[in-house]
Amino acid sequence: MGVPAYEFLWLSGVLFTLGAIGVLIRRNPLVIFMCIELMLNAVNLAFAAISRYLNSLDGVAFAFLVITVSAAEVVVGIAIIVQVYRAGRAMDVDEMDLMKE
Amino acid sequence: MIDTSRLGIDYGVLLPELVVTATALLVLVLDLLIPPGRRRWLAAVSALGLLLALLATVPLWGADRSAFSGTVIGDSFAAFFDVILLSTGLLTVLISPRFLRSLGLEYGEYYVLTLAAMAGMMLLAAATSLMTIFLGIELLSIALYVLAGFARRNLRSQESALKYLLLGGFASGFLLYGMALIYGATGATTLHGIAQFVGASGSSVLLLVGIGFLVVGLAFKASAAPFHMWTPDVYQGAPTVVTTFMSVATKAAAFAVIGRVFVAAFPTIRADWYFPLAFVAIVSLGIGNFVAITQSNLKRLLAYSGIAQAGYILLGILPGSSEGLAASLFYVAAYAVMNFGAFAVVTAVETRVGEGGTEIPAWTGLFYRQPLLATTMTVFMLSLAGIPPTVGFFAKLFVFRPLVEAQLWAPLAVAIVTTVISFYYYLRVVVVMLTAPEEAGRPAREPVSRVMGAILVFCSIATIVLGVFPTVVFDWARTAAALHL
Repeated sequence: MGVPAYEFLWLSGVLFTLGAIGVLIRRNPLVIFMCIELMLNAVNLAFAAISRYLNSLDGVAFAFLVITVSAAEVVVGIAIIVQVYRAGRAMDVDEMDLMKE
Repeated sequence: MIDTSRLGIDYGVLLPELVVTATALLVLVLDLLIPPGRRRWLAAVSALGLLLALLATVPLWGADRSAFSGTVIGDSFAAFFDVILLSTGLLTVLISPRFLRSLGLEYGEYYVLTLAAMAGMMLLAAATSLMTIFLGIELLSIALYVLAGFARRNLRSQESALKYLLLGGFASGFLLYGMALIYGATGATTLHGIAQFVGASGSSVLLLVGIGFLVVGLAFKASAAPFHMWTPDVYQGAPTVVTTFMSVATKAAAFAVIGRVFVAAFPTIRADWYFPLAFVAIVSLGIGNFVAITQSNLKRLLAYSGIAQAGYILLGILPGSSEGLAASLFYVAAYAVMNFGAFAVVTAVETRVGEGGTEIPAWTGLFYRQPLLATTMTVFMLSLAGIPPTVGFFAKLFVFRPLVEAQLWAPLAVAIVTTVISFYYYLRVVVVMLTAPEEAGRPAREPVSRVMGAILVFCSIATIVLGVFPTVVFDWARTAAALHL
């Protein structure tokens, strides 16, 4: 059987936490976006592990769905980030405060 | 050969969504064929498609058709939300062309993206599986990320899109992790399967953590506190028609999911999810109503007001009864009418005055310059505050009643106190509009476009008529809230 399923769940939890911490402490929108992708991939790992543990295909199907949807999200996300970059603004989310009161 | 009969293929259940999607694709193609000066017709085509989709929801009323292996359902609940969402989408499309032209943004993609977001929201209303819920949320979110940044040369619009994208992606991560944990705890991805498992074996730590993460993701989409940080900036930076659409339709769709998941799938473990949801409701009421007082920009004020309104809608979910859910559904319908109206007035003023038109000082003496806009805005403000005989009063009354019956005093007390506080900022808008402008002589009245005028009058009449005869819609809400899975 190899590595037990809960080991994968721990790994997925660690990856998810790392991604979430990255989103909170990094400032460059591209890096934040990569951290979000890390979170989504942690979810995929969890789905795959649970799927194998439960011997059901739902989780694997869900993981494929997540992969496809996150690809679409990346396309839109990168376009938005590039648009901000081309406006000549610093790639730093802390300086995005045009609307603070 | 694969046996397809057990998959439950039933396109009729998804007919409204399919019509909207087909319209989106049609508009995408027509955009290439129509000369740029005639893009108004794309709005007409979109409106026609939305009307057809409204017709397609009729057979779903009173039905109970679970389809596609239990991932979607065609029932009164879905039909109720479809009608709210489609009407919102229809009115948005009608007020858009003039506003977009004033910003030089009259592109066909606007309608395509709005229709795509609509399809996602309607899928959410019909979703009975974690997979379709995720798909619906992403479909509406990705389209709205682009729409928020639609004024792409405007720095605020860009910033709003970027913030929505990054925080939205973050929230999607939590939502998905919650779904993975719920799947791990119950071994099912359909709400039916989850409800069966939970009904038989109760809750576990894994399930509760999963539900917690799910609440984070959904509360973000419903812009409920403490997951509301994006709301003011995104609402302010996005083009006002997009904000109008987003504030009403996204919230309605998010509450469709919250209602179906908590009242229908997890009724047996209400004791476990009551505290997190009550916390979100109370914090939303507090933050929304208090911070709105200090706002000087009308879009931001309405953003905080929307956070508070999300709190009121959540109150109806707390008792976990179908009576409470009916009250929430009624509140969503009322919110759609009055909040759409309020944002539509902001859109109309901004079309005339430009970007500065969303600052509250620019509204001084609006009664004397544009009596129609000011009068309808007064109706919407009174309704949002919950003053009779508007629909907002009964919406609040209906969500308070199940709380009394279930003896949930803490949320009720917070709701009543914050409602009184909210009078201050809603009525301040009315007072500002009544204040006579300083410059001597009355400025010339500028006419409002006929379509906008008609829509505003329609919304304000609906606000009052629903306030005088609330039982008609409440009976519909009651039918819709009698959920089967």
